[in-house]
Amino acid sequence: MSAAADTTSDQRTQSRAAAMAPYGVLAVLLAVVSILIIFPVIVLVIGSFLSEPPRALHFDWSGATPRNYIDLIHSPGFADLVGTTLVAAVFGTIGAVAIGAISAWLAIRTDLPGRRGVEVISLLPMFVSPLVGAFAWDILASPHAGLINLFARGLHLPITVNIYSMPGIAFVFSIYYAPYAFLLVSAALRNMDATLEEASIMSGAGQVRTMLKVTLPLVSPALLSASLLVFVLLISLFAIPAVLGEPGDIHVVAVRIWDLIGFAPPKVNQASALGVLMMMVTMSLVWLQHRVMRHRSYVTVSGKGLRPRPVELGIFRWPLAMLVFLFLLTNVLMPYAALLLIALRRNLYYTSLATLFDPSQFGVARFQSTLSDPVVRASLRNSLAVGLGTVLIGTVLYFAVAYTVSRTRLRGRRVLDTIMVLPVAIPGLIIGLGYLWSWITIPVGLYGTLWIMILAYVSQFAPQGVRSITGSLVQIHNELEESSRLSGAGFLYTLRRIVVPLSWPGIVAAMTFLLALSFREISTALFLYTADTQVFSVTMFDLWLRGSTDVVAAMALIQTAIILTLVVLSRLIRAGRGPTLTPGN
Amino acid sequence: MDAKEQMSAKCEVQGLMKRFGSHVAVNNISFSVNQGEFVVLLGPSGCGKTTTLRLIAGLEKPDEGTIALNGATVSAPTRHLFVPPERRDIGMVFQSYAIWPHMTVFENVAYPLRVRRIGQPDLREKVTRVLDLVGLAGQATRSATALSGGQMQRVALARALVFDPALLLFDEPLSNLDLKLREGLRIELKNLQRRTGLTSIYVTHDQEEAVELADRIVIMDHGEIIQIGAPLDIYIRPKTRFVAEFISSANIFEATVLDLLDGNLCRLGVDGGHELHATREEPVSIGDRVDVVIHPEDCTLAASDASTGGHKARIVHRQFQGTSTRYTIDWAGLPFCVVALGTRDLIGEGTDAVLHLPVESTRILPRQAR
Repeated sequence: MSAAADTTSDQRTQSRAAAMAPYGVLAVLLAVVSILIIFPVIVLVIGSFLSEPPRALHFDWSGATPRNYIDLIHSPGFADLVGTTLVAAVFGTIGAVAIGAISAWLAIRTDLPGRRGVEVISLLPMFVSPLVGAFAWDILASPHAGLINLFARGLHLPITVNIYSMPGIAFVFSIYYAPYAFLLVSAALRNMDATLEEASIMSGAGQVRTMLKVTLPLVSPALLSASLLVFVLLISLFAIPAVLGEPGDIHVVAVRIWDLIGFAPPKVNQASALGVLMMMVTMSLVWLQHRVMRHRSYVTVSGKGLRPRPVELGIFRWPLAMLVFLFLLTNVLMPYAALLLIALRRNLYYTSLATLFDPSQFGVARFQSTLSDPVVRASLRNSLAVGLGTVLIGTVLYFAVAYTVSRTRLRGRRVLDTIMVLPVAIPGLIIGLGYLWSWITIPVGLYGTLWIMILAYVSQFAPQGVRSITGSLVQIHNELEESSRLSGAGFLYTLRRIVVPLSWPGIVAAMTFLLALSFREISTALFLYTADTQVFSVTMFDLWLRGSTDVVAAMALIQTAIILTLVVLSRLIRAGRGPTLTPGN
Repeated sequence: MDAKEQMSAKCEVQGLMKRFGSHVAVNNISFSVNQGEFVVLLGPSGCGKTTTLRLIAGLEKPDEGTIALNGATVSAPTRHLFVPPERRDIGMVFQSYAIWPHMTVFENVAYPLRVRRIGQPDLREKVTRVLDLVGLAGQATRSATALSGGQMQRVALARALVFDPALLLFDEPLSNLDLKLREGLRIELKNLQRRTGLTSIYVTHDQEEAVELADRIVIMDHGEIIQIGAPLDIYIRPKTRFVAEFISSANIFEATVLDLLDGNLCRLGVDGGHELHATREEPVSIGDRVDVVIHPEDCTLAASDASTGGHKARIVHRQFQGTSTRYTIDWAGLPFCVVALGTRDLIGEGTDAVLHLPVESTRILPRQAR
């Protein structure tokens, strides 16, 4: 008895410190994520009002002026620029949501042969970079040298396709962003209470009527949400319009921002103003999407695990299946076939089908030469370093945030959560621009190193990272942790012996996935690399600009192979645990 | 186990308060648990019993009040004193069992000892002994995920016992098991607790479980303690209508005090017009409206021609329940329940009968109850 009483006083002092410790950690986390995410954005906004480009330790408030915005709006072609960006994004969104929703419905709610296959193939374009997709479609469908046109000419068909056009760009947008719509709509369809449809059929409504009057309204919030998400991603997309838009004189905002900085004389302030305008649009749209989902969440329904009765397609079953697979395979496989063809050819001079398939022209020499090229090798090394750095720093940070937000009741944890999801509404290009401003102005030796890219990536991937780690944390019942505490284990011991081991598969899957994301990222890196710190995607883009299509094709395939390996690995590790991961743009 | 008994601690809760936002989960409750005692916190879901248990465990921080274990205060917000759960020396068995799926049975049970840096021969011996105690001898190397619900609960119990805690807490440990298993484990649990002499606090919403396990029951509702007492005492003398309804299926009806009689008796008038006598254990005065409680098994029914005195009633429904028969009767407009043992002298539905209400089993609820 007395021994127990004696310990009281020393327990008291210890526990008072212990009680404050979580808030200390929370404060540190808040500071870190503010510096990573909020600070660069604020600096960018300020920069957009300054008249001088960023310089070390130079921040001249006195020159603050709305001039950049005024000049920008009055610059020739500004209305066209905005118009083109919106039109391309609108058509791209319509196409992506149509493709995504139809294939989701076919894959989830019908008896289409090969439904599982539709699901896998539909998601594939998400895992390769839009940049690679753009290269492939350039090779396939450029108006003159495009392989499709070559075939058409060889077969004497009177058609010419031109990917350097608004329909062309909207088409490529649709293919590469349909998976996002697929994910959201398929989730809504899967979670839908089957009895709602069955009740309609029992009330005497037919299959078609049920679909139009019950199913469609029930998934409409998912459709709207998918549309907004895809639209946000498309208006800020750089890679596809940079590759396919410029040759056809189709200019969009993201590419213009890059132009403004990339070509002499650099107009960083005006680029920043344009970036801020773009961010205002994406932020309002994401806010709108958030509201849509909040107010119509009744749709996402009662997880009763009832498998809805599949819709019977009847005689359309096989024809539809063939059509769907033909469409998906053409869109997914054809681009890679084209890249492979180019990468395997010894030289790029071909004018007819006969010369294109001349067997003597093929070999794997290009892959060897590409992989031994010092520039490519250096960029591969840089990408690996940036990827590993992003994964290591990112995982620790995301885990800390996910744990704090989902497992504690500390006051202020919601703020942390909100900051971490912000990058959903901040395009990578803008994060990059913000980092450029911040770390040139504050010369702590960050600018020009790989570290600045690592930190920018950690910020850019924060929403996906936190979400996926939260996903594996919430699967661990609170009581598993509490029973450890009552067994006498402290917080850190519990973390090490219970929480981390139990969430480990989820964490490793998330890490693998982050590695894939960082390897394919380009727009965040666009303003942050220097000659020594060029990453793989940037090198690929750079070489494409110089016309080295052959090397680019080989690099694109190498990148795709690496990313697919990582994604498959991540899926295998996760093996049915937790929610599906979704990459951002 | 004698030495053990002396180490068992007393738990004392004083003026405990816990709010979640604007909701008061636990409202100013006080009770104490004596050495070796098995106390059950009983109440409907949302009554604050689990929160109380978690406050004692240190899994929640109270807003007000003190908790003392073994005479040492472990929680007192006014003095900024809060001993974290891992330093309270409390064993706890969770509703979900909380067995770590990445460890074997042995590792699960050995965990508290490893935390305490107990050396190898000692550790193995303690774990083996406690696995024996809970009936899991020979199961040590099995993977925890391969166990049945009942076995998992045993592992959880072994893990809570292995470090000889000062206090054992149970959070509805049997509620996830099926009825048969639940009844078996209940008896085992009680025997185990008697043998080890561990002071225990047990949370449940199942009154049958509470009555069977408890030395004392603490009945809670809306975050407050309504009554504390031995099971039999609470059954016979419920303090409120809520307790009477929760702990038993007693007949409860309103009446007016007509007259006070000698020997702690009184005469009551029921709304239907008839009168009855009741025992008054609390002061009442003439004209008071009171709640009257009579347990169905304390009443008797007789065929109307075979009996004198008593109250006239009519059998509405008769339900055969095996060892007993449950009658729903109409006592001049008042629905009433009577349970008769055995199958002799059954009275048919729709017939008239005579209801006898023994005065010593007819109790008036205390007035604060209403």
